[in-house]
Amino acid sequence: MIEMTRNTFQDREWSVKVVGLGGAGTHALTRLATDGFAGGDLIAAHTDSRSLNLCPVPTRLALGQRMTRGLGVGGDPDLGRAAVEESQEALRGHLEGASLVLLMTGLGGGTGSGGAPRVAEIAREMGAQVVVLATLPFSFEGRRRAEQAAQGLAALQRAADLVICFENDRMSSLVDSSAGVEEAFGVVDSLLAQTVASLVSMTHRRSVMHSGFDDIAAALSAGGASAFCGFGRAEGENRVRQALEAALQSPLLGGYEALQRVSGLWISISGGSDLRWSEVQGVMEELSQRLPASVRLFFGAVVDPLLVGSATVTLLAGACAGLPVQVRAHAVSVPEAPEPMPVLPLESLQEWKSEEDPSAPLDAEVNVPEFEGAEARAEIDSSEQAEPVADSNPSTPPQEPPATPEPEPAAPQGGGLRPRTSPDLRRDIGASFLKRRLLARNAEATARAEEAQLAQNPARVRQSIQSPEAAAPTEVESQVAPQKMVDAPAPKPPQGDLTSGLGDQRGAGSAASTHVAKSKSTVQEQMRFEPVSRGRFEKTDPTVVDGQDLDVPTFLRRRISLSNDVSGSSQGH
Amino acid sequence: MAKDQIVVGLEIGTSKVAAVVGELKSDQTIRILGTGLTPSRGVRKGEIVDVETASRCVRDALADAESVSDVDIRAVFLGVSGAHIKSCQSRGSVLIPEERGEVIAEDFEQVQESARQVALPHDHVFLHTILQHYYVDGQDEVLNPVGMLGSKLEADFQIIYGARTRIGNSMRCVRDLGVEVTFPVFNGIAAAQVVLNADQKNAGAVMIDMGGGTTDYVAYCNGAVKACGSLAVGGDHITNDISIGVRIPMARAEWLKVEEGSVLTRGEAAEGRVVLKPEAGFAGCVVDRITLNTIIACRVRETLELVKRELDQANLLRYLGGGLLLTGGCSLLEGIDEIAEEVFGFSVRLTHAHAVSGPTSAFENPQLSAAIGLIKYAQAIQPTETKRSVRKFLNKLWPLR
Repeated sequence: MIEMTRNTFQDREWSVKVVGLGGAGTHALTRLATDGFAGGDLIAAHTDSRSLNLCPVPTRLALGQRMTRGLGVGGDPDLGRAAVEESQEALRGHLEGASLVLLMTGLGGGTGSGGAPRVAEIAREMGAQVVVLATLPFSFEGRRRAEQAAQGLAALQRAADLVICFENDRMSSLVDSSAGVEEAFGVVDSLLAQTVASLVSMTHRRSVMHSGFDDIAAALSAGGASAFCGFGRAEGENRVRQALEAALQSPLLGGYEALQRVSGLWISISGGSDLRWSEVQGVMEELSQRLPASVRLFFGAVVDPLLVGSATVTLLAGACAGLPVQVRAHAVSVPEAPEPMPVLPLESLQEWKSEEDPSAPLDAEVNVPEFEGAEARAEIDSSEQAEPVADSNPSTPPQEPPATPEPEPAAPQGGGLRPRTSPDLRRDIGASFLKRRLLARNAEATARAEEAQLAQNPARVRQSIQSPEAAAPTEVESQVAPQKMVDAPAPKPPQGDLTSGLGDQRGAGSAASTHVAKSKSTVQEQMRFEPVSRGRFEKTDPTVVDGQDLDVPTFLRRRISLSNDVSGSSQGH
Repeated sequence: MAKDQIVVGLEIGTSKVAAVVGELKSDQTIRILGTGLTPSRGVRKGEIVDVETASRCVRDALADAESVSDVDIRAVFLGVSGAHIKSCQSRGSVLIPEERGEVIAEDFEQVQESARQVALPHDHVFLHTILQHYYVDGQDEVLNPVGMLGSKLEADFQIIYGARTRIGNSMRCVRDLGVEVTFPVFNGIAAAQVVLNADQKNAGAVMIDMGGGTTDYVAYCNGAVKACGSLAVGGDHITNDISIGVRIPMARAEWLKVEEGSVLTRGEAAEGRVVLKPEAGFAGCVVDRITLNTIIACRVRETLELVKRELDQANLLRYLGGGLLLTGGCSLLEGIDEIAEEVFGFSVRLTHAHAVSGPTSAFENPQLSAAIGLIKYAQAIQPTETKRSVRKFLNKLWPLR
């Protein structure tokens, strides 16, 4: 798996081309160019010639000029694909001689969703390895864009060697709430750019411990298209450890807790020539100790002369198949089923549906005002990405509003991206796109048969609101969508246990827990104890063995139910 | 120390600070002169989190011990613990010059030095380099190679190391009081000195010291330390589990654990209820014993399983004919030996410090195993210290020898 290479002449035959396709792609490419990326040729390709001209790279390719007259494809993937077909020859000319093509694109629009698979096909036909870094649209951008993104992603998976996905929803947590829209997207772009840069440097530079795309592909294979990415950089005495911490703190990854649920992990550590073996060893030992034994670990170390005195750590993690994952409110239709689908317990599906069900009176009442905000924000996003606006919302059925809104009403302080709190993002970690699709589809199918029961669900929701712990006088919104746990493979704990766990969280009294409850989602149950249950050990280093936090009571972790209701007896006394 | 033969062992534990003053007798026995015991604060999971507070507790404990034993404490053997303490196996080797062709005592130091050429994690320091066996020219398990003919001396060592800053914090607590630290010693190694006897060490045995914040374990095989470590889980976790499971404050949970705690989830011990009387600021509570015991049993079982796994990874489980010896505060839990036997599948004994004399209450208390062990440890390393100084002295007299 790990080989020692001393081939310094590798560069001569190794040619990297980085293609930024569509609005999001060219933006990320712009960032890469301004960061001084020198690892390969940069090629910008877009159907909208106006925004293409804003990209400062020397090689710019206007796609489908005859067909679109440089005005873009209006969010139509078919047009996007046709535009690429039209400009095929020019594209082939630019990609000539590439051994590795890194394609950055934003899925959901026309150029990205329709064009990217075709570009990947072309690059592969020309004998290059194709790695795609794709962003998925914000959930508030609407159902149609999500569907297009899903179709585009499925096509990309067939066409490319490796697809690394970034969910914009999770990216938004990278950004400070007070940040401007431009700054917010800047952060997203720079993350894409950093990932590209470290991918290239890993495979391109003289590496002490070589780790190539075969390793990345292996690390991410079980996760389908989805990868969690973390990047950290630090200087000084303890730099490797700090860089690792920073990478783990990356909201896209979500710390050690998230790593419990990955199946494969690719780690690249780069440092200057002063990178010490003991630093690397110590950090790797610590990391591997904190990971479950089942995680496949792929490791590479690179010496980069420019990094003297500092170190960077890049993590790519593939989610584990068959894991309980978050279900987003918007359902995404899938063109085909790539894997056998996990079967969810009936009860959890009902709950899932109860959250999504637009006809639930409580939901509707609360969410309608939110949706207006969301619409406005979707526009901001679209114009920023220089893609036509009108595609998403009109196609969304009018009775659907509660299905889309993720943002909460309190957010819009100028920033187009909503602020997120840490529990919120932790909860998001497990949301691998592929599994979301599977769950969503699974849920849709079952839901049709369960309509009668659905009508009673709002009542159930209210019931759980009335549980003593949840009765804290917070806003109604926070109680409307109480956290629901879905755990596909494991049996669900009894309802009483569930609410008491929730109650503990609320008991902590943090504003964060209200936040968690606000967004409409289904959550892994492991996380619910996290905010409070470390009790006395709150401020100490967690004792983590095999990815389990031993400070959390054993009976909670092993879900051993205690025979008597202790709270009842203590109250009764 | 060598003059008056009085040694002080100090253990800054998570639940209590224990200072034990002992007298090293010429016949290799130990007499306890006095103990000082104060509840500990500012310590979590065996590590100091608040130096000032912990230092105050240490002062109280030392003052108690001084007044009971009538000894002026100047230096202590300091017990350290915590999850940062790890161990590894290392072999050192040294070539014997051809013209000599024979192993001499000086080679021991060199072979030890060469064994210490292991890459420790950043900012970690050596605590102990414990000899296991010598090899002369590949000949196995030589006990005393001095005078043997050969060209190469090798030795296996168990190297125990820990984080510099964390050990430093413990030492600072003591030094702030004007008391010197002779040596920092891993608590597990210290406790094993008094808990395990020579037979058990030879037959292979494991000692588990379940304390307040950590669970330290040391496994002996063929008379040598083969594995040891510290798990940052202990009685504190049990208390915390009870507090969360039963929803009572930590202080009540601690009382419940100490007074009523048991790991038996079947039979009489698990029947009935415990009533916590209402007091000011506490509404009172009735707890089913089965609930309480289940919470404790889950934790204890898990902790023992983790230790077992460590031993399994070191391939030691088959070589522990001497069985398992449990000590530390948690060994006072009712039925813990049964659960340990279930987990490990071989004989388990609850135990405390042996081979010492003095007030029975001191050495029969399993909570004091580590602190008394520190004195035994001091005794164990003393002869080499003396020998070395004598040798140095002789070297000075005849430098050309």
